[in-house]
Amino acid sequence: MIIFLWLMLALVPWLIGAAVQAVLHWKTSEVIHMTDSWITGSLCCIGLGEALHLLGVFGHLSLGRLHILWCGSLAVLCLLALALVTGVWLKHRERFRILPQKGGSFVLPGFFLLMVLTQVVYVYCMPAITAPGDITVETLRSFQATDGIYLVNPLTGQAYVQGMSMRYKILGLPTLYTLIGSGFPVDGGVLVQNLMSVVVLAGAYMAYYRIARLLFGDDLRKKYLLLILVAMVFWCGEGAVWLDGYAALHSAWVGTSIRNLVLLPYALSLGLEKDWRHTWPCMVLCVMAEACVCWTFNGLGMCLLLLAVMAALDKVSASGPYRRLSSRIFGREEERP
Amino acid sequence: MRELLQSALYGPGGYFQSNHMVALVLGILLYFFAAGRALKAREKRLLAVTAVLLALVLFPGSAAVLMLYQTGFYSYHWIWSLAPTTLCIAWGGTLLLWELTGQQRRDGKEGWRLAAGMAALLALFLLTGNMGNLRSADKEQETARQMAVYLEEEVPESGEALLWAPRPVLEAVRRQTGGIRLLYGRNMWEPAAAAYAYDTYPMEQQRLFDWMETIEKGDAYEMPSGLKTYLEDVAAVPVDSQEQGSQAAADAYMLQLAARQGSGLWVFPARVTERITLACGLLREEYGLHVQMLGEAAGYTVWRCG
Repeated sequence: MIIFLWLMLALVPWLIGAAVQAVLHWKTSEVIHMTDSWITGSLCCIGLGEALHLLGVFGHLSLGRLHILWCGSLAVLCLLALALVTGVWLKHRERFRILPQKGGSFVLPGFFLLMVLTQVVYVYCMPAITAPGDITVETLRSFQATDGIYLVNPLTGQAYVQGMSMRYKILGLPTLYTLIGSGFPVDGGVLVQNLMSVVVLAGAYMAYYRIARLLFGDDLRKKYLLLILVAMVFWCGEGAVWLDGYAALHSAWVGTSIRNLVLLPYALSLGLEKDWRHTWPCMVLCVMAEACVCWTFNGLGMCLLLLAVMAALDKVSASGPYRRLSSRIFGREEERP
Repeated sequence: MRELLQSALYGPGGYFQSNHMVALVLGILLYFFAAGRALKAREKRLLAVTAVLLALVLFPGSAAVLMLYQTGFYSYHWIWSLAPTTLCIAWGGTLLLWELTGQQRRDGKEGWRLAAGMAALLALFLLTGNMGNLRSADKEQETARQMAVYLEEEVPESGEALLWAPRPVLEAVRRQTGGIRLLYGRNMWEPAAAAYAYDTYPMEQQRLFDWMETIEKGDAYEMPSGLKTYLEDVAAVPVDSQEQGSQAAADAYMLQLAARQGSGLWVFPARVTERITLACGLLREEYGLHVQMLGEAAGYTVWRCG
């Protein structure tokens, strides 16, 4: 059953994301990368989890009913996505890229995979550190015990006296984890702190791979070198809660870690593309996903701020003085493959 | 706003202490800006975004606004999430390695040169990085978890009565099961965990927490002044007295207070069993409450009141 859960976590987001990407790039014949599809699909799953979470909180639906709705919605989405992806695949097989392009040495990809494997083993097999302020596991346990969403205070199991913050109440991440684990015989603590950590770590490398692809094009060696350096930074910078290394290796299941490891790099990669007409739906998904998993300023989060800064820089860079300054610093843009 | 500004003013120093890799980011920015290297459009954009975001998090005024933007719940260090430091280091490191190790020269030794460059870069990361949070099985946490499993599986009363126990046990119990309710939870001693709800604890429960801390940590731990004052003023027990009787009276008072707060299931470290037994005897005489020991596991004893 655990293997089935792993398969579901890998395939369902990919399938949904591939369909979304196919729709977004319907008129173009762009290649649909596995990494893009998986991240987009994951954001859609976060959105679905959030919708069910809100139903549970404000519609007072039991966890059992939410689980049925979750399975039903995912099944419908997967069937629709499968039909769409199959249709596109039959017409243009070359559009779906599951694995990176062939060619080049196996040394750097192999070394990168080895580093990731050590991190996965470390995250999955070692006991978790208690992240300060994190109450995800307690929340999941309280949902399971009461068969409902936020019926009791997760830290005591007693009913709330004065209630809880509305901004916190609408965060759907614990519900998403509860729904993911509800159909499988997996312990809640292991699911959140070990299994989901691996999933988020994989998502982080996919987001960084996307950036590497944008920066280095088809140069496989540089792409894997960048990923290896990211892995090294994770290993060497894990000593404080706010560092990416800590987020990746010790608290990947937490909302802020998902934001720092997956959403922000993904938003940055979307901003780097500069083709805002095609990337804006994914940007919106990114911003909304952050609002679902992180405590943000009334729904406006870091992703939106990052994209706003990038948009402002675009405007400024189009102006004459900046161009002159830029050409003085960098010289003329060098065309490289 | 003034507090935010102060935090933003002194924050960068604290952040740098926790992450010297910021120096690498600044070095990379300086190198690529100063060297006037020809870069692709996207690389230029990445550099520009990183530079602007770094300026935003370093400059106190903009940093204070960013802290306000991120709800004020998170401290200064969290606004650094916005600056793509990991990416900048990885991208700059890739280009520099490529250049410095002469990867364009295909003489059959480029792989070795790259390996040497990577080793040097790893050494630099180790020097500037911040490590030390090893995931490992903490002995205290493990015994607390064993106690939580024991309570869940062997003590049927745990599903009904409110549990009062030392801090590690309370933490472990709620992580182990949602079926056991606690007298107070992690939000009692962890401010970050208290931010999620408006609920606060009454003074009596705070004193119960203080008393449990003194029981758990032993004689080396000085009794908090709040608890001392409470026992002297409310319970009229002389705390500084060396007499065993006065300590038992204070303990009995706190136990009956826990019972009055609704807790009927207690866990104490096994090494204080004699002290608790003495207090329970007094509890029966003074307050008419009957307490019995239910069992012992993982260095703790379980007691049922009422």
